[in-house]
Amino acid sequence: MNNGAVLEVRHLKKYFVKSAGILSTLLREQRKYVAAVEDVSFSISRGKIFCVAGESGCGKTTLGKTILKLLQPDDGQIIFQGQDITRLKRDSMRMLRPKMQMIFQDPYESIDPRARIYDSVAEPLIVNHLVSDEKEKHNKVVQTLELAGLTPAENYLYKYPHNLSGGERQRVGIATALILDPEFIVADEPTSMLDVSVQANLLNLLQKLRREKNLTYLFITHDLSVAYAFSDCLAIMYLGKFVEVGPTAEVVMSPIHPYTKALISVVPGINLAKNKKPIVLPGETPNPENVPPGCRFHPRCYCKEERCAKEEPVMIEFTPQHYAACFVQENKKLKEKSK
Amino acid sequence: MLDIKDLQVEYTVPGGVARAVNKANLNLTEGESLGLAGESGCGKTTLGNAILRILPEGGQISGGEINLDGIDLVELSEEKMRRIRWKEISMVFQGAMNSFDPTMNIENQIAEAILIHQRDTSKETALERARELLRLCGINPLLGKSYPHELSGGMKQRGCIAMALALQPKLLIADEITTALDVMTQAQIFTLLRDMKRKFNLSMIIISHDLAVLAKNCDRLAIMYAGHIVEIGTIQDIFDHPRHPYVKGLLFCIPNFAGGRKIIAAIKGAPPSLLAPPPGCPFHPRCPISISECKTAAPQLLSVNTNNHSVACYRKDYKGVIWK
Amino acid sequence: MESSRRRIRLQIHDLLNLWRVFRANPMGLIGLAMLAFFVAIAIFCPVFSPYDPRDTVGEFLAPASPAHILGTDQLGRDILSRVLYGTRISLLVGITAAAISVFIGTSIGLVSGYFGKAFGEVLMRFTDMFLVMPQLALMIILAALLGRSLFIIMVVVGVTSWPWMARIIRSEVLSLKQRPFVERAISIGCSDFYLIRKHILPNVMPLITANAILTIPWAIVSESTLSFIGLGDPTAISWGSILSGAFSNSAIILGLWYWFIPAGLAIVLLSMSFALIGHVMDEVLNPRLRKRGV
Repeated sequence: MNNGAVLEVRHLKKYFVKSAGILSTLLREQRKYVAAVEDVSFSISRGKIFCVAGESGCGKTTLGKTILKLLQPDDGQIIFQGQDITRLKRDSMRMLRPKMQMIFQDPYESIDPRARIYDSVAEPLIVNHLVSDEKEKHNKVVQTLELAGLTPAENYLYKYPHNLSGGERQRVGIATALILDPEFIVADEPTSMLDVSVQANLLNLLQKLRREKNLTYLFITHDLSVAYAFSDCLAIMYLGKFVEVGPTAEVVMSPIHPYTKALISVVPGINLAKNKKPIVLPGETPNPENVPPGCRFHPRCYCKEERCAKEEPVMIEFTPQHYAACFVQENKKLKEKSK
Repeated sequence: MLDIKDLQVEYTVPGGVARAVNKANLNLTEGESLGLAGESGCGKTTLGNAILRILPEGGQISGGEINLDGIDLVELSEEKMRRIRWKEISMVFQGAMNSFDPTMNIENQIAEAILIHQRDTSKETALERARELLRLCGINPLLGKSYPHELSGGMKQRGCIAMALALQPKLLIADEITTALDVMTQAQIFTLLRDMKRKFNLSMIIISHDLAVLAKNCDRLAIMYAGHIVEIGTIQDIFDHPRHPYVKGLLFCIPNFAGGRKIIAAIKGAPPSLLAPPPGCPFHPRCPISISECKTAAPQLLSVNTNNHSVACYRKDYKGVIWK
Repeated sequence: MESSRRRIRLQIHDLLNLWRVFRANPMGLIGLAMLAFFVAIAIFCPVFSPYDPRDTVGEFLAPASPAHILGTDQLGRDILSRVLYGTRISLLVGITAAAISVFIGTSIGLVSGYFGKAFGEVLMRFTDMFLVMPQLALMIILAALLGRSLFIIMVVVGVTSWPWMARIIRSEVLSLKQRPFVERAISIGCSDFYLIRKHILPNVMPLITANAILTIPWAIVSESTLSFIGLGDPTAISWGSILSGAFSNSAIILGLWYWFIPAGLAIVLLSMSFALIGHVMDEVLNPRLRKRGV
């Protein structure tokens, strides 16, 4: 069912095995799993920016990497441009790689420190045998660096990463992702390690590229204000599952799920006039090794009922395109409907 | 209570001398919390370290005064400064993981801080006090016997705050304490900090690059750029009536829920190298409204109203649109 | 091509920079000077040496005198000449054995670190086997089987000292594998061997270089030890064999310092020169260890 969707994810699961010692392996004890991504489904239409937001440990980075097949999914389906890529092995994936690229979070660690910028940016071309001679390679690299805002490109070609600032390094990261002319980009917290003025410039660049090249993004972040300004659709993730998904403006302005409400209320804003009472949740950001029974959020929830500790809620549509998984809210909605 | 006059801090590095803090002027009254904001490299952490005189190797205070209730901390001997550290001024650092010794449990470490300064206290009393502090900071006192690696990031940071309050200091400096934490944990930590401030009548200097966090948790705010304090005033004054071009640009860049759904990449370029800063105002190369005066001498911090709002800019009265 | 010329120029510039950092550390320069001294002796010893080291040129067990500055040994051979010529063996065997050791250790370390899991574990157990193998016992067995020659010593020392290198390289490769730039390389479609060649190896090179230099003193001392206990090449003039002769002729008890001290000192000083250089190289190649900069 491809209605212009670049990416469709269905019931995706990704587990990590908790390291077992030799003794337990010998005794063939039941292996313990940590579900980093548990039953996630969504789709992204061409040209849209889909944002996955959540706190650390919620599984958003794992989700991004699994979608790009940097990690092997354990269950579910990933359908990229109509093709089911879930079971594709590494060799078959290499044909598709140019179309789906990643921008990494850490500008200090995501470029090889021992390679010159020219080599780092040219590498995707070499590895995929896309250029035939030196001149063509040189031109493409220069062109891409300038596209990423590093002008004049000549100044950057032979430098090492440690000669550049964080913002410049991240632009190199973007150039490396762009040089293969991808159609889909997963951006994993690309600006969280940068200063706010640099972040603004970079996000601007990403939007410009989306317009000019009709790119589709999966944008991962923990910063809801960035998500609000930047994305079209927003999904809030908690302990491996989406708790709410919908158009960004709606999710932020009219949140449904209690976790979303709390999260939005504590995001500090510089607009002093807004007088929201912050909902500060008790307890810690949970560990995926200890998933509570029933609704994953219920131990910290401020409006739960008995059912929440026993059953896991499913995603239902509250308003067009806006979904949430919460029993209490579901009941509220039903009550209002019957009025 | 705290009065910093013309403070200058320099680092001697292989490339030369970098002036990390350049003629900083700041003051803090009792019970007030001051935010110290700026992007990376602006000198805010250096300023915090200078107050406690814990500059790393290669750094030294090359000028100015830091007056704490009349005593100039710059002039004090190391011996006397050691007595002031933690008793009068204490600090909570960014990397909570690095603040604790991994081989000792946390209640012992807090007790140690107490015992070092109050030698006539018994070990038992110190431990009791440590547990009480942990409880105040939202950590179950029974967890006092845990080792740092057994606690989460948020709990470690609470532990650091407990340790900082061990001797009931007058001034607490918090240096990027929530940068590595989630927004919910950040909210918890700042709620705790506000409670502690009320309870102990603390004065605080909160250092952060996140202006929004400071807006919520401070009374006044000082913004630094390339070692200079460019604007200082109450939260209301700075956010509603900013005067410095850099501050205006910065406020533009920050995405927020009320600001509409667009990204305004206002300020272009990068901060100058501290080894060879431009002459005059450090911001002038990136400033759209700079004039010839800006290139000759760095502007002084001058008052613009009666409410202690000061700006260091020759064009502080410019009323037009600076950033597109 | 214009770009390759530019690269060569930049490469030279980089090397000069590294030299500048090296120069800044006096320890490294001392080590380099000492090494240069020994290399000069090794090359020019026919010129410096007063006598042929193999000839009987004087009385047996003659004490130190102007004619024989370090006296003569039990066969009347001039000890000073023997010490000077011994430099050649130590340098030759030391460096070659270290090279063998580094080659084996790096290969195993790289492969076991990169290909992890079961294969890596098996390789590591294999490494552990060699780690606990007594060098002496192996040497004796091999000498008995293959005869006693310089070549055998080089091989034996090389083959018994690689595990240390393998472990270091393996752990570095394991940690490198986790770093985001390796993930990126995989995400753009790099094959395993390309990754190892272009990304892992260059980043492991500083560790290899510094440790390779530090392996040499170990090889030198190993060779000296083996020669001392009589397992070396009987025709080769080695500091170890000089010490062996001194020991078996009760030089220590008799106080014939000129026999055993210079040879022993030479072993120590040559090893130290490599150790000093290796230590400074570690700092030069690993920017994180350098003194704090802004």
